[in-house]
Amino acid sequence: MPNIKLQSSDNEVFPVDIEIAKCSVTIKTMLEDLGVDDEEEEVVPLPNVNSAILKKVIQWATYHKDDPPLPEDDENKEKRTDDISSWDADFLKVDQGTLFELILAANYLDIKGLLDVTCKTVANMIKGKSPEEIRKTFNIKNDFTAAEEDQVRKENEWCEEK
Amino acid sequence: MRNKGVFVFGSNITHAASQLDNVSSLPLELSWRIFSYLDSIALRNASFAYKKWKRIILAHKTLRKKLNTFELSIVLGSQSLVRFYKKNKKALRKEKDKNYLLKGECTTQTMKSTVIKSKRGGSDITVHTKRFRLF
Repeated sequence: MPNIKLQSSDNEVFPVDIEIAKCSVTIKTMLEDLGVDDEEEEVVPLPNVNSAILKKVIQWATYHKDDPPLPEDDENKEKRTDDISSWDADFLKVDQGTLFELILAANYLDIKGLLDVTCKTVANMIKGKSPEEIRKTFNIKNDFTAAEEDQVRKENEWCEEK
Repeated sequence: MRNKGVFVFGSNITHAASQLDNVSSLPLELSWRIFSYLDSIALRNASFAYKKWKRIILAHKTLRKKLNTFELSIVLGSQSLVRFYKKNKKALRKEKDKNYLLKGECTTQTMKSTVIKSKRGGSDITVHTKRFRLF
């Protein structure tokens, strides 16, 4: 099968099956519309993605290469976050920095499936947590004043009584 | 946000990432994407976790609507009362110093279009890059 070479920001070159690389709409469009020949040894530079992240992305794309295309987003529909496959869940057991770099890479390369699953994973990190727990998870300093905090607490108590 | 045939390049944002948490350091459209997966309760808690997040949430029309509807339903007691309130907003007396409906704005920071010339006679691609910024 024909290969394509992807070059990461730190100049590491990854030979990838062309069908797998086409998971990325960015690369697919580049290949099709710019008329890059399949026969040619083409090196595609990806200046926004480093080698560690690119390796992960290729790993994901290789596993998901036979997936059917995803439906278009519907803004009004309640989105589910509990439908992450166990393979993806395992794949995304990484530190937060890596997870967010994967989101950026998926966005840049336009890989909808990967973008969806990474965003869902972050959403799940927020879901079911109190504001204090959310701050802890994302290492955020509380920037609400004591008075504002009190207001929130009061509203919450009121909410629980209901 | 992602239209057919439009080619969106991610920007390199690492310069600001050191002072920001991971979620706010993302381009706005990606933060919105993450928040769009939250249910009302999680969205409300997220808005109370960090002021910056609250601003991000309020700057997006759908998310703002979701948060405001939920806030209102807490105050009024139920979702159906919210619908009633919204319908009869003008007729209801406003509580002093209390505006239940929060607002937020964002602006388009840059809008760039670049044309990539086709190498071998195919049609050229126009690349649109759109960045949003909070007020």
